[in-house]
Amino acid sequence: MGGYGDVQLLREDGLRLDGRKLDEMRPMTIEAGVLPAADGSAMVTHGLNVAVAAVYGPMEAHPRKIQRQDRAVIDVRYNMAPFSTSDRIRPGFNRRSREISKVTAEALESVVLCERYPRSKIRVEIEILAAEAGTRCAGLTAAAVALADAGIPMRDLIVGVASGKVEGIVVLDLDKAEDNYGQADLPVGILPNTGEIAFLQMDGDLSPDEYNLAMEYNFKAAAEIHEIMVDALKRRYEGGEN
Amino acid sequence: MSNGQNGAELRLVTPGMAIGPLAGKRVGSGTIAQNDTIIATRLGWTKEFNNTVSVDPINSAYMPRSGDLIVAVVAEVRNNLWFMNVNGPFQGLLPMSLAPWKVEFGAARQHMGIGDVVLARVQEVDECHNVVLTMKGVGLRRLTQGTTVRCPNQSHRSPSWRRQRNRATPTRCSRQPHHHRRKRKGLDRW
Repeated sequence: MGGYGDVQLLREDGLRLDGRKLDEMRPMTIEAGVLPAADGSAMVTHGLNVAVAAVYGPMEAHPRKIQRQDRAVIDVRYNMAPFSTSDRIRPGFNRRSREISKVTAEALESVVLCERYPRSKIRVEIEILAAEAGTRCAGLTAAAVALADAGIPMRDLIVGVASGKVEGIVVLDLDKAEDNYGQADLPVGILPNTGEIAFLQMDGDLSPDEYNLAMEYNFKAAAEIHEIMVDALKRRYEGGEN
Repeated sequence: MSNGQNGAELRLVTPGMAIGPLAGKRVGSGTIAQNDTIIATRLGWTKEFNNTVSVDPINSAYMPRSGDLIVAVVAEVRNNLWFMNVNGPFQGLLPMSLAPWKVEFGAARQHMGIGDVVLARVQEVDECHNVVLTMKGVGLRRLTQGTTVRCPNQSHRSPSWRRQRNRATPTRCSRQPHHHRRKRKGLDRW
């Protein structure tokens, strides 16, 4: 991620190519309970990203060697659909999807009260139907809403959000061009109520000041996304008292 | 307030949402205490009873508790026991010694096969979620007629709503909140 000097990612008026401000997020919508067969599910559209997450369980963990006597295990499978990008993606696991599955599971383990369900497994399936950069964050957000929808006890929701650096300037929520030709990408998983960070990756280089600014953007966006998540969950059960 | 509700009214909360200050209250199911604040851990309706704040989840896996009356479906049959699907994370175990019939070793299949539905009671649940069922008790039997339906969790409903539903529909379901059951048994200490 050394950057590409000849690719212009910021306009002369200071806005980004798609007209967003530096600290402006792509439009996001969340819908909970989209899959009737799953115990919990959610669909997140973030810019041109579409992520669907389904949660099954808690169920008895099989094979038995993966069981933990004192807690549940979270089994995450992140997958990009072959039609999610203009270049067809070969179906099946690859290095990237294994890595994202692993880091997402570890992030979710920090919020789910796994000790409530010893010897069991919570299965989280994340399917990316359309990808435009930022799919791991959209997938993490969808997984958190799906877990809440499934009634899994959690100490907080978790929000996936990313900032990065293009043309030496820190920006929030990179789109495809900024992700491909930018200089850094900083996806994080934030617990919106406590402000804790459950997951952080960095691709490229940021100075301490740039890092602080990127995290400031991330926290601001996490608060916005959290409101959308809560709204989606409440909307699913609005009039639930009747 | 009536129906065991005092203090906070029913409110929909999501995981991580602050319900209110701890202020001497006790945390019940679906909640945790963090920095003198009661935090919801599930998506559901808040409830306050006997100075205990809890959240009744809208949607959650059934976790069997000792004494629960349940409808279970035979999932597997062994020589001397049945594994029952109780619609929870783990199968329940019904040993032939707790069946209502005299069952010879190896003859379990003659009494109940896979797919049979029974009305049973949860005898015991250990810390590893091993569930033992019993069919010894008044009214516990194999169900040979009727229809089982899945319905959403209604635990946040008031007892009067449940009475009204039982009058208006042919249902015989009479799920009572845990605190009502305990109180009826004289176990009103938490």
